[in-house]
Amino acid sequence: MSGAAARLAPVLSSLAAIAGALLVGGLFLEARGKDAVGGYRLMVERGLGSSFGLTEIAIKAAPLLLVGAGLLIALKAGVWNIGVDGQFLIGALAAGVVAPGLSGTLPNAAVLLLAALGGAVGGLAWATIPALLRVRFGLNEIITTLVMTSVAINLSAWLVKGPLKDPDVVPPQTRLLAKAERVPDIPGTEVHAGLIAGLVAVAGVAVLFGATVPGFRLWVLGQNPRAARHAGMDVGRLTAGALLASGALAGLAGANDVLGVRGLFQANWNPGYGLAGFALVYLARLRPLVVIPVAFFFSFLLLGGDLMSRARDVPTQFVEVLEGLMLVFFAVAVALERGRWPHRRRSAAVEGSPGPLPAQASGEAA
Amino acid sequence: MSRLGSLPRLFVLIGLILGGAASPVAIRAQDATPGATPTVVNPVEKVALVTPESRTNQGWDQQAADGIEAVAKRRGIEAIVEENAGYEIEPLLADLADQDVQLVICHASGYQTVCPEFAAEEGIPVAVVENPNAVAEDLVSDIETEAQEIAYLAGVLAGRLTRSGTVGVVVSDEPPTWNYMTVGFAEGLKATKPDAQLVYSVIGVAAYGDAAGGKRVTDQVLAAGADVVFGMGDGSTFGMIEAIRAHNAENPDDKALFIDVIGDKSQTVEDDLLLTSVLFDFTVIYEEMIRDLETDEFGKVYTLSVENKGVRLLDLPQSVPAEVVEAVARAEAGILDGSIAVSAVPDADGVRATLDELFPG
Amino acid sequence: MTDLPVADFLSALLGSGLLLAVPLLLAALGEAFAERAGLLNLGIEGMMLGGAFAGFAVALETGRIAAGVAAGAALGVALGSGFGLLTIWLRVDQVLTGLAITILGSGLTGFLYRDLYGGQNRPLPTTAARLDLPVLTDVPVVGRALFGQPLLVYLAWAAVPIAALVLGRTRFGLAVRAVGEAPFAADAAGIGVAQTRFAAILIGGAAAGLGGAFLAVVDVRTFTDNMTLGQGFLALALTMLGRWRPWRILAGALLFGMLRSLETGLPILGMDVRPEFVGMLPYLGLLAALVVLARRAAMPAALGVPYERGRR
Repeated sequence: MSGAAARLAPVLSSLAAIAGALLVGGLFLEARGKDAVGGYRLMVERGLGSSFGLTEIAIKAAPLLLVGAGLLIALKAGVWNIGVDGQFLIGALAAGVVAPGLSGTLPNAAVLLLAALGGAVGGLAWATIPALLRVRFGLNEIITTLVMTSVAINLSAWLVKGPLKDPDVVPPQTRLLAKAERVPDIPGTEVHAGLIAGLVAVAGVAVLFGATVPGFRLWVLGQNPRAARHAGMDVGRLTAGALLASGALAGLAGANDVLGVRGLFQANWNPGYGLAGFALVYLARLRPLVVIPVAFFFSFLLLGGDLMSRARDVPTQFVEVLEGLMLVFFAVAVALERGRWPHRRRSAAVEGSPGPLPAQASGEAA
Repeated sequence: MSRLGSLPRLFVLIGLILGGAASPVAIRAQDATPGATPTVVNPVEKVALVTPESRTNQGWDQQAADGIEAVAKRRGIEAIVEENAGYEIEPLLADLADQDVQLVICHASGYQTVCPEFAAEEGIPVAVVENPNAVAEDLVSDIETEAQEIAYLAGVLAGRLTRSGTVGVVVSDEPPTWNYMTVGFAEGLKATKPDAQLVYSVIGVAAYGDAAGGKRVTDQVLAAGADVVFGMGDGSTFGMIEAIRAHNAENPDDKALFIDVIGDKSQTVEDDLLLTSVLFDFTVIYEEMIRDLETDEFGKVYTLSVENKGVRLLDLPQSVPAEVVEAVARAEAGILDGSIAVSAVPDADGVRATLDELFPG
Repeated sequence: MTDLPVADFLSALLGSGLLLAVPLLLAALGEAFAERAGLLNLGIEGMMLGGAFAGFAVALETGRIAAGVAAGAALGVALGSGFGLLTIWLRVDQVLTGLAITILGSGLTGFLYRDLYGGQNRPLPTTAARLDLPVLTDVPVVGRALFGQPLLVYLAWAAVPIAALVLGRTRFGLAVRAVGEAPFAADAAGIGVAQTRFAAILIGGAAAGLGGAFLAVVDVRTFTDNMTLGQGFLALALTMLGRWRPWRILAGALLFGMLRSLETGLPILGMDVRPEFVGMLPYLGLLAALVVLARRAAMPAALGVPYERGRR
């Protein structure tokens, strides 16, 4: 098999998964008596055929890119951060408190940067607990990050209904950052500059894993924790580092939405990018630069799918059905790909999925 | 003991709506004669409504969705309902702007920042709920859901009908709409039965759709001795009703009663369980709002009230003794003539303070 | 609260805690089998939701609670075999597969609930049979809560010793543990790794589906969107907390159920606390319990690792 074909195979698998999901999703719609072709056409028309659609897709891509960048670091290192949603919420809350609090005291750019930093620190802080539990007590982070998300939902609601609430309005929300003080638009567009942060973050992850020693260590950890240990690496520190970086980027995604779009943090708001982030990073085969187009595609899917469902009287859960189908087909495609080229098996993990579960690593954690 | 059969009852209901009066809790017919009809300057042909939760909850979201569709049908205009939209509605609003809607009703107190911002940016009028401060001429109107007065009547009813002396209030969160009613209900209860106990319980964070939680909490409230439960929940209400059903099946001689809010579930819930409901009817306000928009008078506060019949009590079952019906009617008269003043408390802290004051211990 | 009927109320607290524990217990017991065999199933949430919806739909159509419960378990088995096919046969990543099932479960149940029932709430026509154990129900405070429950509650309790027995004392249990700890050795010893793992995930799926059906059909007696609200993920945490041992899982599920029950019970008892604040406590308690009881838990060594003969 030629090198080009080998390089193309993963791309084809992902494309096949997307096509398969759209096809089966469409057949499902038809089976339920809905017009699938018309629906998909509408999805494209509303999503891609209007300036409003393109703008919204670009805006929504920013948090997906940030979350994706964080998940890339974690998953490449074999660390399962399933608690992105909790880190996102705490980061969003932190930014929602810092920005209006500093507003007026400093130049606006400084306010925004500090608030973004606050968001990243919030997410990082939230990831610190599972990281500690993992490194100190060998507790599997799949479980602890999930539990931490439940805590975050309650904690953020408690804080925003109590001590952090804007006393001047009735609903529970933080004070508002005026529209003029939010992240400015990229010149010539109506897309705020958070998108650039997202792109930079993903590019940064590409550099981290492509050209730096810490990146290489994380990668070795993800491939084979035992080898990492034998090579004298501090597995605990690497694991914690991956989780913290991942949490910080999730927190930054929360700050992005607060500082760029909403201007405040409010109770009951929980966009839940975690699962979509997982799906998109998988579909991108854990390759940073591929994450960029896939994030835009997911943004289109979320927006177009929602608008189409609403316009066509299709239950809005259809988007979730498509996401789930994509993952299933992707799984099958990766398996077929491996079966087809058995000699590539040894590097299958590089291409398709993160390293083994942390079970082994934690079993050994000293 | 039952209410009228469902079909005749339906006719009665229709009769009441058309006739506008004569319910056991008679509400005075509004004088519907407008002065000089102002001229229509900009005809409204397309309106939209955004609601956070599913419109199938026979509650807050459904009542608004049904309301705007009814008004649109009556006026022969188009209504777009964006239900189950959650709290991240920026893309949806942009899409509505793209479809040239002329009015967006943002049906959640959680939308009260995003929608005025959208209106200012796109120049499309919006209506928010529970945020009179946002009102802006031609652009932002506000809908107040001050149902505390009708909730007061429900409290009178509960005070009259409780045998145990303990009454429960179960809420799925603490939004202004619920808080107003909680306090109104508590004041009505206190005025009717000063020695009553009130058990107040919150299911959890944004537990509007948490039917399992609604059932669990109602189980506990019943066990705490409540025999009348005032439930504000949306989807979680179905769990509350289920809890009472199970309780009543087990205690046929000591049945508990449920007081619902917003929607009318009398078609699906048995008569010896559903005592009444604090009904919301948004059509009055939507109608008025669209009219104002057409005549360039948009940008004010609209209030669902006893006077405009935006809120009223669902007809009581026949099993309710005449003197109780009378007591409720007296209280209503008192509210209408101003001799009974019901507090309007929008926030959770205020609710707790009021409840502690009314029912110490 | 001066007039609170304390005994009745404590009984209700206990009762709701027990009911809360049942779906968690069932799902976690099933997951213990799966994880002991080396399969980490993040699809439990989707399987529970699927079981809840299937159970609701079938109970509504047939008017029979038992049929609904069976349908929930059957759908769990179907999803479990899907998980098994992907992860065992095709050796697809387990976390990926699990998350896919969870997303699909949430999407499909929400979609079909709208599509088939217009999303309109429909209470089930009949109530689940309750079994009141004579004499015992008269024991003050605990009697009613412990011994006046729906039949399925006792079955869930009975599943604990059965699971312990099967895992600990039978050939099948031994095989399950062997393929989860040392699949190569197990294979060499003639134990079918794939078959054993498949059987374990079918048990896991059935139990998760049953847990969901219990929630919808027996407890709440209706379906609402996403009604499991993360209970599948909690079951994963409980499995770990219980270190894959049925009796410990029972203890964890009961503890968590009681904490959730107290969450709303304490304010009724007169404690002046914010619901959001007490809402955090069960989860913080769970984390603390994990630290104390499950730190350095020796996980099944091959958990999450696909098995392929001849490839270590």
